[in-house]
Amino acid sequence: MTCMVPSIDRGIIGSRIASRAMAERIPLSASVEIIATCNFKCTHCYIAPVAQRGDVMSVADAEILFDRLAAAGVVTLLLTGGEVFTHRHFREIYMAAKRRGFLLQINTNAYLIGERWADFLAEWPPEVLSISLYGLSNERYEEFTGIPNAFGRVVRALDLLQARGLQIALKCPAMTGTVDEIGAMRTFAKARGVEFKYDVAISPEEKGGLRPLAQQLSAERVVQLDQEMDDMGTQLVDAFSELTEKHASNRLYRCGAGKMSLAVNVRGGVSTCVASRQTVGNLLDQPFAEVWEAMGGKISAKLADGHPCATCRFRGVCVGCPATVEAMTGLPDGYVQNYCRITHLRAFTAGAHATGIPRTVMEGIPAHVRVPSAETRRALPVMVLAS
Amino acid sequence: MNEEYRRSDRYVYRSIAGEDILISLQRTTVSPMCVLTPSAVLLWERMLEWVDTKALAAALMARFEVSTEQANADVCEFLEQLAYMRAVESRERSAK
Repeated sequence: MTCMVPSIDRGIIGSRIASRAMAERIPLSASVEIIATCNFKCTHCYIAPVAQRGDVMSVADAEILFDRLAAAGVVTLLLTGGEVFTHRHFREIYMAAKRRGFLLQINTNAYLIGERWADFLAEWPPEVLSISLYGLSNERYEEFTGIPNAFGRVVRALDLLQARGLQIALKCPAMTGTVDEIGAMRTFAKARGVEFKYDVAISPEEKGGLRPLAQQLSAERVVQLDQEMDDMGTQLVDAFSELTEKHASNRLYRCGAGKMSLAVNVRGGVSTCVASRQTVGNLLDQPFAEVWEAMGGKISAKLADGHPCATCRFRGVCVGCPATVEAMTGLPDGYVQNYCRITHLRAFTAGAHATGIPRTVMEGIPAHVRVPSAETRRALPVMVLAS
Repeated sequence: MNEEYRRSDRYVYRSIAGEDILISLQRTTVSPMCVLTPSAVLLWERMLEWVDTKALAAALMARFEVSTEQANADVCEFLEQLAYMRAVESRERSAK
């Protein structure tokens, strides 16, 4: 016997924990939205533009949530918003989470991070600060966020955080207003030695407003961006080459959402992930087990016979997932042809599909499958089919 | 032998999916997360209050089938590990 604290590689212990959590449906990670409002006024945002002034989580409510999440087994906790640093009690909430032994992550636009916040975070470091980037100039930032001189402040925040050895990652929604700078943003991130990610799925506002969809890239532009960002010219081929008929499944949820992770909104409502705004219960009003059971019911759903995605081998790499489809159609098992077009055009470009055109374009969409409203479809970019 | 030990509040103990883990709250030069064996968990729990090595070794012997020598050695080793991680406080035992 030994009392030693074994020096086990974090990857090994992580996979041991993950494999048991997967088998026993233990929620290892959660996001908590502590504030829905933001200091930026981004036109693509699906939360802040429709948030109410009172959409702010109290410290007391945060503590209740943290206790319940810790007891349930959550170890990685993402604090998100809105903009978390605009919360008047962010420090208290952050420390309340720290003291419960969560490995913390923060989503932020970094605008409000100055010396004091950087010093505080250096003393009590999160695992990572995931920082949204919206361009590489004050002009582009102002155009996009409505705030003057914002890029300069964000760069200063990055400098302060990196000078203190804090782990940061950069990300940007790839859309009409940012797509021309995505490559340069990646170069900017690389020069700082940090990870950069972009996401091409734009969702409507939480309460149904369609304004963000005007910025959704067309399938052609998405694939062009893929190619611009693919230095080796192999990413799409790699992503699609292994996908065969056996990868098709009528299981609706194929990720860890609702199985190993969950999201809590500013009012305590629980959903599968941050992208899903439909709640299955409320952790401030109900015991965790009750909410988690309801979640289990939601994620065990199957795609109906005849659903276009039920036999699709590309689902694992599709832009459309239950959460993004739910945002567009109101149902996680709806169907968004726009996402299907993007994925099929990617597959075509990778040589994994003969035409790049989804079957539903020729054969139509079964009547029992929910699709986006006509108004939503009109808000999306006009498609140009691959020749 | 005249020292007492107490766990530091720089670390939080969590039991996650069957693994016993210490998580560092503050910046650390060692790993922010480390795994405890069952015997280490027992000692960590006993170290909520000030305790000496004799009491820690006795706790190990009461729970596990180990000799006094082995228990003492394990306690020393564990305390050294905690000291390296800055996860323990120590003081001279107060006169009774």
